[in-house]
Amino acid sequence: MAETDPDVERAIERLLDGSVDGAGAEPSATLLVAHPRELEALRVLTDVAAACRRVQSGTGASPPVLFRWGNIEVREQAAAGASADVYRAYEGTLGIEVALKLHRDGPNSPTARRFLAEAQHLARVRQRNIVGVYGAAVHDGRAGLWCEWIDGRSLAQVLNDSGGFAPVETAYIGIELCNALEALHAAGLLHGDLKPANVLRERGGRIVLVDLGAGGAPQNVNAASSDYGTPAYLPPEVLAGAPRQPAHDLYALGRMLQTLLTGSADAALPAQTPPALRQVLARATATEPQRRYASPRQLRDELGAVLAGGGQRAAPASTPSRRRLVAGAIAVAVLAGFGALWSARMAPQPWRTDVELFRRSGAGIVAVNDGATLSQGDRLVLEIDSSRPLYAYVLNEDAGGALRVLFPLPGLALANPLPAQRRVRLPGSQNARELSWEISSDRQREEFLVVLAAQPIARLDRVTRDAAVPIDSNERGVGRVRAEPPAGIALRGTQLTGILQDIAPLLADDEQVRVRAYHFNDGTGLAR
Amino acid sequence: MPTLSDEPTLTLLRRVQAGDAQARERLVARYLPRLSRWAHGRLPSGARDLSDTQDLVQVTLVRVLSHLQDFEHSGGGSLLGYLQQALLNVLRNEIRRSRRRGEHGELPELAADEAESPLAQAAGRESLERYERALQQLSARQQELIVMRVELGLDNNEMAAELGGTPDGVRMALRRATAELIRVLSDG
Repeated sequence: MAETDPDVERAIERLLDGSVDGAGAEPSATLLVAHPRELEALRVLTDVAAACRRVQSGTGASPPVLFRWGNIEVREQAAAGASADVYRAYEGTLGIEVALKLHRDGPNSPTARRFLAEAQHLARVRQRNIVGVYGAAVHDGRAGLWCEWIDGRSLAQVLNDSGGFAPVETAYIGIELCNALEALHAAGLLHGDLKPANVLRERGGRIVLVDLGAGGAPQNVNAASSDYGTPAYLPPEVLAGAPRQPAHDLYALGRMLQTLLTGSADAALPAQTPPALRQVLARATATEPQRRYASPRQLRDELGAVLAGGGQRAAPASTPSRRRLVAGAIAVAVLAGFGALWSARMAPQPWRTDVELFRRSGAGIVAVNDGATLSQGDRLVLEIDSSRPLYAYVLNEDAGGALRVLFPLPGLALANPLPAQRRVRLPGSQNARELSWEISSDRQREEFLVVLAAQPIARLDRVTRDAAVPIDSNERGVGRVRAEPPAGIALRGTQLTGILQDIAPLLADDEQVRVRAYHFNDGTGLAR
Repeated sequence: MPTLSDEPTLTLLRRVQAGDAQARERLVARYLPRLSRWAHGRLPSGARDLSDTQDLVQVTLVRVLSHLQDFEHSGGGSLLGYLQQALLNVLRNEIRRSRRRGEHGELPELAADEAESPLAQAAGRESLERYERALQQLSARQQELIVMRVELGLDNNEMAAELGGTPDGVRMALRRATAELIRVLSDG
């Protein structure tokens, strides 16, 4: 019989014991560099063994059936989220143990429909580092989906129990997750909530991306983006309200790998972190989006280079004792992520927008050109024509620092998102009367900020909630109006300036957000 | 999990071979849950449900155990392995029959592939096929070791009871068999 490499021997031992960690992922990391074919063979056998365990799992005494849902015997609750419950269950048709996620809202609610639609997307993604979805259906008035029940621990649990991971394990986990993200992104999906709690290490060592995220599916991608995800793993532009993109998963992965090394999201990297790994993580989590990795493949290749280039020489793995598996392995409920997996907009058409400010008078409406002078009593409207549905925000600040929202406003017939391919006039109408923004110049300076966005901007939604005032109570001052080029927006109002700074990272992507600023004064020369 | 070793298999086997129906029932009861699940995992999802599969397995076990005169519990080859092999042949026929019957209705809306067995769905068909092809290239003894651990989920103690020998001996033999399987898999 051919001699077996000691690393392969260790991996075999671990596989046969079916242990969650054993010596951790470290042998796998070494194998990836030195014995990729053997590692692949081990994966085949690990997957078959795990599948057989699932099939055999009902052999022993099993908990009594709580209730039935379709063909599924529900045996115990594993987790409760904001809008769904997770159960350990037994699926009669497949004859295997599954994780069942049941949505709480009625099956015809928009969230339940979205939940099912997302299940369909996910069911098409078959990749060993992504939890496998078996099906989704509605029974007894509840939408649900069932997927692999994974016997193992989340990386958050491992961190909590045993502290940070060794660099070589960290790089290996990163490579596995790049494979998962590559498959997800290729299917037009993004995960949106990558963090240690959403990554499991199955018995035998398989790394599995799941989502235990709170809540059911968001009503739509846009509405979800403002309140989903974990701040520590979100890039700055998303915190500022930018629409979510698949590439943001790579940022989250970078942050997550930092967390694995240090034990917390914000701590500095340990001294023994190899410089090559430091560089990779720094690039993955760069503040400027354009500096980051463009694809999972790119990040995976660089992590592979870290492993090949002596990552193994870095710090030893944590002590073996920390990895003792408690008898009767903790079963972790695995949830396919419906809340967090969103259809991504890949390869969009260029965005065409046409924005014009008009003055309304008895004679009709006249475009207000750059440098025009306005007078008290003038009424303004803004016309927008866009090739895509969009979210418009119109804000105003006067010389006294009072911030007002001009659009969107409660009570208006028009609301975000505004329709595409149609010229829309803001503020629109209320109860069939045509409205405009009336200028009643009682301040020396007024500034208007118009933001057009492909998706809602959380920062501005907050402002419009807090600062909206009733229609008809608005007073505006006026002087000249001038359009500023988006690149060089300058505002004197401190509130508008603050808002603009908050959303500044979004402005880099002209396909997502466009801004116009208008400065007015009362003719006393105070503009700008 | 009901232990397989509370009464020596060999003792029961001798009694069965002497025509003791009660001993036969006990052996059937001992192996039925594990082999039923194993069989169920290998039948196409729509073919039979678990209790239906259990009937099939029970009939097979009774039939095989009633004709055990030619089985010798020595020179390798455990009773469990023997039963599993007999069952595998029955399953192959069953799968052929179910394919002829065509598609079975009332499957879950999104089941990945109705014609696939639960095991293929859980492991991925490609992985399962690679595993089975590689397994075929091992010796009968090594195949039996791997099937007992990987497919039937027996631990070292249970395997030692089935195969004769010590748990430590089982562990060593299993490691060698697995190393060989990995070698075949990575060559293929």
